[in-house]
Amino acid sequence: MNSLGPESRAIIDEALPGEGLEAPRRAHLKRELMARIAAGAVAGGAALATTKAAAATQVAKGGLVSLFLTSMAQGGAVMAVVIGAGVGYRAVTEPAAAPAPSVALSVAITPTASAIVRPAAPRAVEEPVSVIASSAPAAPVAPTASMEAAAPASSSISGEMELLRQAQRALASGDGSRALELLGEHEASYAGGALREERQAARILALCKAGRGAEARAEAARFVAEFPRSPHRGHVLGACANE
Amino acid sequence: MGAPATLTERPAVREAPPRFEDVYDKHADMVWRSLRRLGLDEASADDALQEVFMVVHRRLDEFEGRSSLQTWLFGILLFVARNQKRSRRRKPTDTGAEAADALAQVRADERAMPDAEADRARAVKILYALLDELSDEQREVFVMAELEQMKGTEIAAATGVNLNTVYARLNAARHQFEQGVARMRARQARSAP
Repeated sequence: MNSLGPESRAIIDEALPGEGLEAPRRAHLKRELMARIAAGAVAGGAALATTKAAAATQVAKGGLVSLFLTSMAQGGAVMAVVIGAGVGYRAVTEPAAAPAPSVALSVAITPTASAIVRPAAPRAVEEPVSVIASSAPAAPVAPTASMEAAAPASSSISGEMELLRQAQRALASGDGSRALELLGEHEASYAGGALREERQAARILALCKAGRGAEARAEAARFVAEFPRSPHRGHVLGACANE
Repeated sequence: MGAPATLTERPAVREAPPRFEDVYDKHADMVWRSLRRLGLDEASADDALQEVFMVVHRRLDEFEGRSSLQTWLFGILLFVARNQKRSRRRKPTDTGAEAADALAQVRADERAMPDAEADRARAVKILYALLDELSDEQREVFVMAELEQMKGTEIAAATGVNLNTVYARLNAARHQFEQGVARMRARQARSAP
């Protein structure tokens, strides 16, 4: 078999260091991915999703997204949550570290918005999330290559997703106070967790449900300042409209 | 090292599947750059990366460690990349022109960049332009063999074609790549002042 000539080899070797995913982009994609997985987990046993549309449809059929939206008493945008999670980053091609909230946006929210708008905090996705349910693997684990090294944080992700789902169920059943309780627990356990954005969005909806509209609006303003491209933005801003 | 004698025999203690987050952290870079090399633009690669890991999340329990994790991931990412590309039509390429155009373009861009960064950007664009001249089948095999250093058997496992076909495609791909390099050089020489 022939092999590649030296000039071709050199072209390849030169390109390798310039490829790859910048860290902020990787972190952003991971956060979106976790949100999609959290949404999809409820649908359970979904078949292989090969397209975004298929994935979104599956989730919408059985999943948290429909619960989420039912709770807001305004259907229609079922796809937006899931699809939005996939395209949110596309609008900005360069990895924006701390996107500035747009003026138009802050004006559109409420009169209080301009006072509250603040620079977006750096996202804490890469931080190890704290472990509460230290569910050690039951089966004996053979030491597998390099997988063991980064182990400590990962068991918390399913716990994080589960707690958020419980809160969303409470929200769907109209129990805003219970949802707030669970979300408080979530915040205490997973302050810098992967689903912070989803938690905040759920909290705003729960505040509306619990009749705390003023707080909800204030938090909504902070939310859009911190997550200007969030797929939940529309829902958050309209959260109290029907309460 | 006592490797299992047969593949059908299960080890007495089954290894726990790797943890999802670890898989992401360790392999996201490889998956993303491979998607780019297979011809997806950045936004499509972002989407496809998430699709790949959605599948990984659902199927990680099925991963039995018979192949390497990289091979298994490649099987998934090839599938996702083909689907992503299915709707796009490969535009006919003026052989060598794309690579040379890329070169001209980055030369314009690089005035705005620090030298080292510009060099890297140029090198990547040239590589992708050359890869664009391969057929999809050649390109997959070439990316796995020449860019990820995967073995023939691993490529066969990931693509689902037999080993002879893998080598045939790889040979064709190498030849095509070399031709592309030669054409690019020829054009550069012609356009030099």
